[in-house]
Amino acid sequence: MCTVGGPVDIDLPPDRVKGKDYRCNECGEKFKGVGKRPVCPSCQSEDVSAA
Amino acid sequence: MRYSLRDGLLLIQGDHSFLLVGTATEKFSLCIETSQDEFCQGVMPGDIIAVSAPEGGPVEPALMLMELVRTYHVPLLVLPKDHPGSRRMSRVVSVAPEIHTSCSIRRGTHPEQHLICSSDELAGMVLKGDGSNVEILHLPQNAAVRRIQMSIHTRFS
Repeated sequence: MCTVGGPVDIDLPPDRVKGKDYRCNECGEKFKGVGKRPVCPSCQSEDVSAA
Repeated sequence: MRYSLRDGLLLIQGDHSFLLVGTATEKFSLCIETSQDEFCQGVMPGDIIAVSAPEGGPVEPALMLMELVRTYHVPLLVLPKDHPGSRRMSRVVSVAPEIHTSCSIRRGTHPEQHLICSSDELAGMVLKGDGSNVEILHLPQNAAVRRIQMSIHTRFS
């Protein structure tokens, strides 16, 4: 992921970045994950399932 | 060539630009916030964190950016394409197990995790994370590799 600056200048074309919907099995947080090993942004658990 | 990053970071310097390289020391979720959505990327210990300054400049802002991402896991805020503020930003960050430097991509406009924008002189490198080590392939002949350490001291009065 390339990002620019402190805040970031990056264009994420919707057709190129498709996050997959996940739900954390530990805290219930729902999020869109990218990459091979999604991690819950709320509790940092890897115990997540595709939602 | 393989370098240990156990005691710090690597600074790869060209004549007019540089690349700061570190590795993630813990698992965390790195969130990328766009104007319309949020994407969260799982970062694992040993993944490469690279800050590129294609136009050079002082190293300290790159060190701060490295620490904001690596230690404090700050979300990355994304400006829409052609936002007027984008020209103010002269450093790019990439986080992935393996990162390729490229000068043929438009800065800040590609979502692929394995690419980072660089200057011409530092293009073509491959950075591979391996625990607390990083392997650098295709290091340009004119590039210098230096180890660099940083620490943040806070004094309240």
